[in-house]
Amino acid sequence: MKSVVLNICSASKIYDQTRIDDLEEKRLVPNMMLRRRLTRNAKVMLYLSDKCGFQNGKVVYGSCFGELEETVKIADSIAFKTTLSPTAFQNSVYNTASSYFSLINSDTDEILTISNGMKTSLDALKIAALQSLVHGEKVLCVAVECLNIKNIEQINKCANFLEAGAAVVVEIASDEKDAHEIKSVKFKGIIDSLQALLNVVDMYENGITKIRIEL
Amino acid sequence: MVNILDHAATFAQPCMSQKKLDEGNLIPYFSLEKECKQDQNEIYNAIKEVVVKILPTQRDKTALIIGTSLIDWNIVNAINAGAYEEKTPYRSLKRSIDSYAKDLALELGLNEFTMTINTACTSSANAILEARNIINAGFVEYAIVVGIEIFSPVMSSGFYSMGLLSQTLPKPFSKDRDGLVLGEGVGAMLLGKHASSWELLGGFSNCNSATIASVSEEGDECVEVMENALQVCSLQPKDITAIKAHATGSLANDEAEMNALKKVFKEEPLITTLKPYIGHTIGASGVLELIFLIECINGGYLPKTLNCSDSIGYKPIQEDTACSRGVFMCNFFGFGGNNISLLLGKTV
Repeated sequence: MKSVVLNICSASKIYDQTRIDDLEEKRLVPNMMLRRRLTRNAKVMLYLSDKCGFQNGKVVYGSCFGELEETVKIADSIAFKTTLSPTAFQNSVYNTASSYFSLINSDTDEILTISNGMKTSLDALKIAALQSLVHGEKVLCVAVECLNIKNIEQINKCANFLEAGAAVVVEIASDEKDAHEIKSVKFKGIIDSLQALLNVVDMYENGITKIRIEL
Repeated sequence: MVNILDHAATFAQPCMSQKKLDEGNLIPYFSLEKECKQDQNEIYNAIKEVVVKILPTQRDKTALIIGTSLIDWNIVNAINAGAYEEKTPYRSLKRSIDSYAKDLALELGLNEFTMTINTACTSSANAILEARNIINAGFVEYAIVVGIEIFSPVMSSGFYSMGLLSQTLPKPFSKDRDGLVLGEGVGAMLLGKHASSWELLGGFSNCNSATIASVSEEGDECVEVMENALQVCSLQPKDITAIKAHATGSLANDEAEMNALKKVFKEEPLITTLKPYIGHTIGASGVLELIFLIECINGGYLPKTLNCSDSIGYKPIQEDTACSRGVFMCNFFGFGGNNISLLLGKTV
């Protein structure tokens, strides 16, 4: 496989043990009706993309568990034999967050949604690198996990931070000078699917703006 | 140039059966002959069964990309185990949907590059376009693209709750259409640069919708992908031999697609729709409908559209039509505004 070198143009991360307090929804989504429909993943994605200063262009969005809160609403309906909410169903698909991002920012470019298990954020970064290479554009790569659902403690044995996300805007670098390998420092308590991207954000925050990634 | 070198598929039975949803409602459904349960091993084996049929000799230079809208089976298994409802201890298998690609790549000695795309109804169509990208970029020699969809009571109940399911037949573009009929199936395509009579000319994908669930009635979002697909392939509408429409049979989306077709194609083109044969296989529809179309064209004909005698616009072909070569536009429009148009070329 080949490796490519990426410039990190901007980066952002956020996480909380239970629920991220201020995702600046009112500023980011002035339309109240639309704001009310947003899922947690969508809110985190909108927040991170805003912090990265990215509104338009190609996006690769990754989430291992997808829209868990909405999925639970469906599970509730099945378990308690109540009517399934059409809104919950609409909001339960994997690409919900990226679709809200598209709607709110009027970004009509190619937006891919992937779910690659515990390697989700690393693979999302690889695909973002590929997109940037093929199209010669800056690409937003964002990964989000929102796990704070009722009774999560019954199946969660690994994550202390139930809401987390990371995002970077990348482009193909013109040369390999000063390119760094992606670190593998463990962000303790955060789900593995986000670790790679969190490391890249951390590297950016520490002044590293060029990384090498094996495709 | 990226070509379609081989394919394999397990389609649903041609006659619709019925499935029972959790709330007791019955829905028409295109089922596989052999039931594939919502079980990780059964799904893995169903994928493996089609993939092994098209393996190239250079396995280590072959990427595996899956397109599906299947939800994460951790959650389904947890629900089935009663963990959520009854608070019984549940041990997660920690197997996400991408495990299938990674595990299969490992077992079959494929390249370690795998990807699982989840863009609703466009999942495996997008996977095909991404496969073309990675081959053209020189990262791998070949890519196997899999589309899989298995009956999911959760998904079916969701469509039912939105009033999108037909109680009769899939009647795409028909004035009396009353919704879509879901189906299951699994298919795989081998892409690469070796000579083949089928070329994947290119395509265009966007994320653009009027609402979270649908495009606008005018269909401008669909126009965008069709026109851009033609542009990236340096083709004109007149160059298109026939169109494989997305055509789910739903009220709103069929209207939008037909309006878009009228805007892009000023003269009435040959249109066929395939969901009346195999159902709407959601994330798998990209791969499965392409394989279905390829099989028909290889057999020398464009298949007629069933159940549409009185169309809302351009009329899909009513009889099987002789056709063994040409350029084919294949449209897929998904939940959340993921839209894609692929262009395929067939030489004799």
